[in-house]
Amino acid sequence: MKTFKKIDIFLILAVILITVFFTLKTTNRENELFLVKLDGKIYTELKTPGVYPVKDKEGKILTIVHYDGENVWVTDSTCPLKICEKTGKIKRGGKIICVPNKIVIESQTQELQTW
Amino acid sequence: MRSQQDSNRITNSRTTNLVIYSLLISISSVMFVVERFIPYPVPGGKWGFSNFVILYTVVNLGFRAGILVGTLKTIIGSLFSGILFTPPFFMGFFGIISAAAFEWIFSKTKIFSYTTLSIIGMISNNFVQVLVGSFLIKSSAIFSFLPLMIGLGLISAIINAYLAKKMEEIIDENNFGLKIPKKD
Repeated sequence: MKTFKKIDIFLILAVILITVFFTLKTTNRENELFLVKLDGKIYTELKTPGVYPVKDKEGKILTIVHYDGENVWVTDSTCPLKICEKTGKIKRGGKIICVPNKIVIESQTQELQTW
Repeated sequence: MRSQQDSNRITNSRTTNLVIYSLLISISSVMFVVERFIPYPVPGGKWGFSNFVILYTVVNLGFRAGILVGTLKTIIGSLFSGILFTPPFFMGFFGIISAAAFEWIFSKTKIFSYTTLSIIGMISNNFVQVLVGSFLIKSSAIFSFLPLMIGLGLISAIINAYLAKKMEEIIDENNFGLKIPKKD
């Protein structure tokens, strides 16, 4: 029984290729959705570019979410400190959190792990 | 009282087997405990350097010996490292049994080398570990670790193959009077 044969080089290369393929496949972020959550529940999913007003149960507009296909940003928030507006535009993987209105905007695959 | 002629015919006495398995289990248990201090990026994971003993045992002593050494290695090592009957223990336990089985099946063909067997064992070990882990945690999110574990396990597999070959050389040179059967 030898330590090494010529077959092993091909085997190692195959394992490396499979590993790289699967890691690239799992980090593919083309078809991620942005989720808007209000009070922990999913309010809308941002599929098409546009303007989405977020309303509470009484129909009062809390924030207005803008989506242009790549970036997401927030205007006209009712919270006092306007931190969600000052966050600016976020790409995939980013998050906008508005504490007074209990609004979280994030990518679908990178949801906040809260348990 | 056995005569000298008979002792050549009898492969291993009970005491000899006891000594051989004790040596192998003690070496792998110590390795099992020591390898926890080497940092590993996956939470709850280990490098798996203790498995070169299983590779050596399965190739040189057979399948039953490999299962015995693997089982006792996992139990004793877990006792010393304090993870007995926790999810990592069960993951390692079933993983090492599957790795021993696959290594034994492929070692029967006699066309593979130590590195091939080590990589086959590593892949089966990681796959069964993740499978058992997903059953225990009841979520399939742990499968996202599998490519990373196999990529890192490739390093461990090559190191384990080298260590197993070294161990075979050392035991064949001065076989401690144990009469471990040599297989070419």
